[in-house]
Parts: sequence; structure tokens; C-alpha cells
Amino acid sequence: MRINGIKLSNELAQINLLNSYDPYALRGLFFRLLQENQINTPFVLVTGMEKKIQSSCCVDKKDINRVKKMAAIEPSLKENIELISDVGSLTLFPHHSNLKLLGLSFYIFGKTKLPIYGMASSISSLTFITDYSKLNYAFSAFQKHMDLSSNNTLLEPEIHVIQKKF
Amino acid sequence: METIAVYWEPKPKTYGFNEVTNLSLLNIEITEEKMDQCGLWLIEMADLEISFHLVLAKYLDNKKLRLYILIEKCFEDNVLSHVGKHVDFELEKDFTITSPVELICFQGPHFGDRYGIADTVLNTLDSQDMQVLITVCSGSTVYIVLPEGVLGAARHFLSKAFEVP
Repeated sequence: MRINGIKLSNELAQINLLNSYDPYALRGLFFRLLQENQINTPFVLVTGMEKKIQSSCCVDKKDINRVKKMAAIEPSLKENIELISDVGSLTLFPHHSNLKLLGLSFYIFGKTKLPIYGMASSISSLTFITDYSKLNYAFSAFQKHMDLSSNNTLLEPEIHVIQKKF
Repeated sequence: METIAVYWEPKPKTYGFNEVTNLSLLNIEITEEKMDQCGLWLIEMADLEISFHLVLAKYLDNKKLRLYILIEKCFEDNVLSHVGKHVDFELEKDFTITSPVELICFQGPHFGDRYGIADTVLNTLDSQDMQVLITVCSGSTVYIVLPEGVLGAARHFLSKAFEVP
């Protein structure tokens, strides 16, 4: 299968927000505090249909201590946060809205016993969250199974965007 | 060399809302041991030319994932008959379809690099007590899957929180 590119992320941490007696209030508090602390979440999944985990998101590794401090002063958060540190994302593109790339990706993750902590599509790409230490191994596995464009283009330009109030 | 762009806008800009109705949300629980089989099953489904609007997998517990696939409702019968052919595969044990559902999605400049986008989306809809099935922020795109009939209200409230061209 031919794809145009694979992109690997920097080191991230995944935060799973557990269900509580008031999941909406907890979720609102959590994302509000992230916003107030100017912590970006490049990957967010929220579903109300699972028993244990209601929401998952990833933050940059450099922000994880701030998230821990933020949770430490809010008892409801402290009790309902599960942290998976040292994760990273592997992004494949384009998917063309076709299930074949998703199927092949699941097949590769299954065969190589690489964990998936989360996955979502975007407008043209599929992003998988897995162990950061295994990203290069995952990349090699995908290279073996896919016809990667010779100029493996990056998904987006390497521009670091910062939001600031002037 | 690092290039840094500094960005601020009081109301996040979007490139406009995309809305799709008459969709079905497939929902399958898969274990790590069955991941490769699930992959093959999806490749077979792709051969039926079933395209998706959104796919996501959420980590559950004990090395399990819940896979969601949002498709056009017209593909539903094809999917059901495909699942029916895999009786020994046990996927159908944890397979459900929620239908009909609706999708509103939008993109904005550098959404994936900016704090506060998820909070604005969730706060906008939660403050109106809107029932939301799924919210995803992936890359520069926000996806919101809704039960049938609430898309208009969701658009109304989101367009107050985000700038729409």
C-alpha cells in the first residue's frame, strides 16, 4: 500500500480522565485548568460511552509537571487522573477515508505487539499513540509493510506556534 | 534552526463548519491479542468500498481498545452482513451500531498547536447541556458526533464561541 508519509512526534504524556460521580463537572474543570495554565493538548478523545475512562488527551512532556501540580491542588482531579508517561504519536497520511490504511495499521500493531493507547483520524491522516521508546521500531515495521513515498514528506511545516496575549 | 510564530486571537477563527447527517457510528471492543485479526477484518471491509468520516480508538483497560467508525448510514447493511460472516471471530460480541447520528467538524489555523481549543468546544456544548456522543481534537480538526436532531443547536452555540467566515 502506497502512502505519502509518516510523522513521529516528540515525547508526550497521555492523561486519562476517569469517570467520577460527576464526569461532566470533572471534565470541565480539567480542560478549563489546562486552558488557564496555557497547556496545549494536541490530541483529545472524549466519549461518554465507557465505564472507566471518559476522556484521554496528550500533552507535551515538558508540560507534565505543570499538569501534576494542577491536579495536586484539586482533590477530585488527583483521584481521577491516570497518567501514561513516555508516549509518542505516529501519524500516517493520507488515509483517503478508506479503511485499508486503518486495517493495515492495526494488523502491523498487532503483529509487532506494539501497544495502542489511542488513535484518531484527522482530515487526511491517522494518528496512533504508542510507547515513545518504540516509535522508531514502529516506523521500521510500517516501512516494511507500506510503499512509502521516496521523499517521505512531513505532514506540516516545522513551525513552533505559541499563543500569547499582547 | 527553529521558527517560532506567536499567535493570539480572542475568538478562535475557523475555516467554517462541515455538517453531515444520516450517519451510523460503529463501536467495537478489541483486545490486543485480536488486533491483527481486526486489521484484516477492516481491510476486507475496505474492499466493500465502505469509507469513513471519522475513526478513533479509545484505550479502555486491560489492553483493550474501543474502536469507533463513523460511516454513511447507507453502508450499515453491508457492515452488518460482513460482521455476520465472522461468527467465529467473536468481534460481534462487542459490536454495536448507534444510528442515526450527525457530525459537525471544523478546522482552524494551528488548532493542533494551540491551548484552549478543546476547552472552548467542551465548555460551549456542556454549558448548554447538549448531549454529545464523541469529541475528537486531532491535528487541526475538531470532530463532534451528536445524536440526531441537535446539529442545528450545536452549530448555533459553536458559532458564538468560534469565528466562522
